[in-house]
Amino acid sequence: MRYKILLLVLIFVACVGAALFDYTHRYSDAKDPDEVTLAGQTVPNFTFKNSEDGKVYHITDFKNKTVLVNFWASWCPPCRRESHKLTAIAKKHPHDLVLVMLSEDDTEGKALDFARSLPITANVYIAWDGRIHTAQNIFQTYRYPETIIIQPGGKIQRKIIGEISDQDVAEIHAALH
Amino acid sequence: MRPARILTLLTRPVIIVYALPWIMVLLILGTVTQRYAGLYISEHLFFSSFIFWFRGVPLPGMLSVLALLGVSLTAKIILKSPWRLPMIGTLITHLGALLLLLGGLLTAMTAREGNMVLAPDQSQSYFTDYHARELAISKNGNDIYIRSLDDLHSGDVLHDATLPFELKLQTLCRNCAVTPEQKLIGAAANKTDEANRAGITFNISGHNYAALESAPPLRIKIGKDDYNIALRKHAYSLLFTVQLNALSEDNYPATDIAREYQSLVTITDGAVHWQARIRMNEPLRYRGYTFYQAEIDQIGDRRLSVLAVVHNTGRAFPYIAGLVMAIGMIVHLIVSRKTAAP
Amino acid sequence: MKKIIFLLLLFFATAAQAADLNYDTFRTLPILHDGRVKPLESFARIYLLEISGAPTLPDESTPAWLAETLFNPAAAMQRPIFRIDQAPIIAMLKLSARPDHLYSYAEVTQAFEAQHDTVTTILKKPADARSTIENDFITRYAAAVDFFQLLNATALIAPSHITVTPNIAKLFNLPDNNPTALQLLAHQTDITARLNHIRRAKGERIKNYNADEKTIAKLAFYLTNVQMISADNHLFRTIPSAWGDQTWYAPWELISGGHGAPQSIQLLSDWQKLVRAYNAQDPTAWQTAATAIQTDTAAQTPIANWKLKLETYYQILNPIPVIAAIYTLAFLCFTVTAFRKNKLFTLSANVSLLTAAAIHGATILARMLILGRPPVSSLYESMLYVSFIIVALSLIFMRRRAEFLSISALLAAAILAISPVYAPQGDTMNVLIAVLNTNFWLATHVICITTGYGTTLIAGTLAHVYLFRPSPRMAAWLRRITLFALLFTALGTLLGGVWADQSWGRFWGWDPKENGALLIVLWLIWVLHGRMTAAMHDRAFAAWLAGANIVVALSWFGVNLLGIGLHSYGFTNAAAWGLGAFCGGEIIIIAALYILASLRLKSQGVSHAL
Repeated sequence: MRYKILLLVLIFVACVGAALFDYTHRYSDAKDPDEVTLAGQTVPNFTFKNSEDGKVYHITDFKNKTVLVNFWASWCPPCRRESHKLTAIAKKHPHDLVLVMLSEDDTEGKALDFARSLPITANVYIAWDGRIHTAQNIFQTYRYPETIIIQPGGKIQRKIIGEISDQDVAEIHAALH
Repeated sequence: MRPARILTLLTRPVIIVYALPWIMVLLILGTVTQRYAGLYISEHLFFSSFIFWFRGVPLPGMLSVLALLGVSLTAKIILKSPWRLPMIGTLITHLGALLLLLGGLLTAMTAREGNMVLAPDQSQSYFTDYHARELAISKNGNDIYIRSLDDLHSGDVLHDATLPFELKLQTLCRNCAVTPEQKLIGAAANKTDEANRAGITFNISGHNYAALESAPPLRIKIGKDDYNIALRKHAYSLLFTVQLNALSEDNYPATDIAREYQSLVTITDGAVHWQARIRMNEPLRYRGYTFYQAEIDQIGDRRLSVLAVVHNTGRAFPYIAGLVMAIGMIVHLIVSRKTAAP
Repeated sequence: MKKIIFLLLLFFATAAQAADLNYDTFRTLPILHDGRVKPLESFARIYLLEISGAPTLPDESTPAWLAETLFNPAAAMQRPIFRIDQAPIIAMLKLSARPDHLYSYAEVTQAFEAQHDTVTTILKKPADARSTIENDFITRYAAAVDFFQLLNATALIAPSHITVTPNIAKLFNLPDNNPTALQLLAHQTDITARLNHIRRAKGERIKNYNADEKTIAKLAFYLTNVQMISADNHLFRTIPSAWGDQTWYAPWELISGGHGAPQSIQLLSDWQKLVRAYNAQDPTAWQTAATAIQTDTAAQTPIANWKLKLETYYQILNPIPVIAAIYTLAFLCFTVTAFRKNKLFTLSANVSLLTAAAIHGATILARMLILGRPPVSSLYESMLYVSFIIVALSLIFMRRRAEFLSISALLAAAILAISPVYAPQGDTMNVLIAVLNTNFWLATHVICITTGYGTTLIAGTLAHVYLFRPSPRMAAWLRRITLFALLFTALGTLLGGVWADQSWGRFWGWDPKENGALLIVLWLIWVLHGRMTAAMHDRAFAAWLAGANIVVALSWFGVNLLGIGLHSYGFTNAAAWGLGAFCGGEIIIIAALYILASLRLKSQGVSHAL
């Protein structure tokens, strides 16, 4: 009987030990309030035809720079609003950043009509995606605008759903310094 | 009766045979009362009282019974219990029980419990009691006269060397309501005492005034001095400042069920600054105070962190007492088996 | 809603009923629900229970029901499985009474639609201002809403059953003649533009359109409808988010909320193939698609397929009633051997008890593995554990005494038999709320106090046996076991205080559950001291000890009825009556046994107390 009691006590101590071990290893899944979320994957390779010079580019051509891939359409008011913010960012970082704006308009004409109103610099590429459907087929994007931020090296950092905010703009600037 | 005789009577086990059932009765009464009148009143009536009155008959409250048990236990351990090996387990257990009672006594007498409600970036160097309300008169922003509401009664006249006027108390209410004619009247007590709004009506130099908890303080100008009269929950000052930096509520994915609450705070103690994290189930202990993440409140679009604060000198007692009692019972089991009759 | 029924009937045509699809992989596919990832089997059972009152159907396996509801809504709507038991609700909905209380979704939704005003009126009232029947009415309404969500969960990837003309197929590069909304969505702007053009040219009457134009019109109409019925559909969360936010999305939510990513394209496509395979009743395509979903989901997010399989088997086997039945068998066999020595019955008793205990232990272990935490976090789980610990302790310490084993079998069977009352939504294996989210205290305090409940129940029940058949040896056993029970309950209560001190800043708060636990401890101390100081003789000691059962029942279940405090789960009539009946019955039984024992002593001429 003594041994049984001893056994019980040992089991109890073992449980407490196991629980303590678990206690010290807990919360590994709880996140800090300001942790950045990462998609972490390399951006799939896709091509687009730049409307300015008619040339076809691969996304991998810009591997060493930060790339903003923006999906928009001329009939989408938030897209129109943010287009100036985006081109302004591009203007501020001519060597480190590339802005690729893919239009989901149903005709190329509508896309180009709006694009003509934008002040673009050399690092801005505007293309019509209405035929290839990169947005849907490669990024599963069906709602606009969306902006995907790709770090130098090709890893997707994060996606901005909807209109880009001033805080997003500030963060992008901060990351480029 | 001679003291020795009384002590001997106190060591008789018959005390336990009647005291324990009475404690059980108090527990049941107190638990059921909680359902209908809330915890504060139930505690006040049964658990934190020496006497409670039942239809004009005084009956012992929890404190009286526990006091009796404490004295009886002490007398028994010293005078009656045989300090011999076969009974060692029982002795240790009883010692543990005594420690528990003593710890409880210490806590009841000295503990300070309250909370702090902080918005992000807000800092505070005091915390407010859950229940104790006080009347506070300040002159030009500094408190000059503070009286606990429990000490005040209707008809009291308050005067002091620091006050240029006399305050004649008219009515006091633990929970008040304001009528459409802007008059203060007593209302039924809330089940949660923290939600009660205390109030008083009083007279100064022929004018009638009213003060209500959580309402803007009453301003009286006398000469060049501004006097504020306010009712508030009693505040305990901390020796340091706590500032809330960030708070987060982590829900299970796609649900409203909270997985975890936490706050990031900065403690400033003189020249020392340091950051700490307070989580549900992981409190912060500093200089005798313990800060717990009680909850996260949402008011409109503002989120507030509610930290429970406790200063309890008797904190270690239950731990020690528990350990001692457990050891005592295990020892008794082992020893009594050894010496068990065939 | 009426429009929606019409749409569903129009566009989701009935597929042939066939029983040759294999659901073994499908039922283990992961879905996020109530805060954790679980297999479709568990998910299906929860909703089938809510809708039809039982987690299984007599003529169809649960995953088969789920597949039909998700992938063939038109047929699922006609199946009479929606249960309405209460006659007043049937009257409010103006439905005809039926002996089996089962209605089809089509009937029910039309009825609720017609009573829309009643629904809104009741919903406007706060929950505690509603009458019982109003609350039940809203509960059935909520079940209908959940059913609606299930029926439309896969609208995005369901075949539209629209035959697309070759020109249109070529124009939009559609891979199938029978496209899904997902395949059309990329072209929605184009389709709408073309339809407007057609309308301007040829007017509103579809009769005047040519084949291509009719197709455009149907496609546009279809897309609008899918959008309408999919809005707010969050139930079918089977696509893990690729953006690191640890949540899973339902198909429409994924697309319309902008949560899509390159990684989730493959997954959504896999689900689309699964839907098509179901509609074609193609077993090979079905199995391939299900396996693809399993592999691709696991590649996306760290889930353990073995845990999903374990949980699926747990649900299918439904071990608790089985265990309770075997315990009952053991008890009956033991009872027989109490009156007549028989080798066969003794063997049966022992074997069944051991078997039940083994399955029971495995069940608790399975729950710990599935949920990744100690096994007791709710009242229901405490019942599963207490019944186990009673049997385990008696097997370890009291193996040689048949009456002890018999008692433990009875107690375990009784507790398990009552347990479904405390799992009204089925065994949902819920996640831990923040205040309970600490494995350390769950493993120490909760285990300790529930072990205490178990040992106290053993002591109390053995006390009944003693009163029935007193013996000095049994009296000694009673004292020992009571001390054991005191050890666990006192330690458990103390640990509870320590946890409260760590969590909320106060060691003791007079919370009803705390008071209940203290009550048990005090009761045990009282009877022990009563006996040890000879204030009670053995019979009285046993009688009062037997009353410990009542104290445990009140502490364990009674406090919940009060509906206050940190541990409460609310008041139910069934629970209140059951508890009252138990306590009343026990008092009568104990009193009777005591009187009988006293009379027996007198008749034996024993004048002094044992």
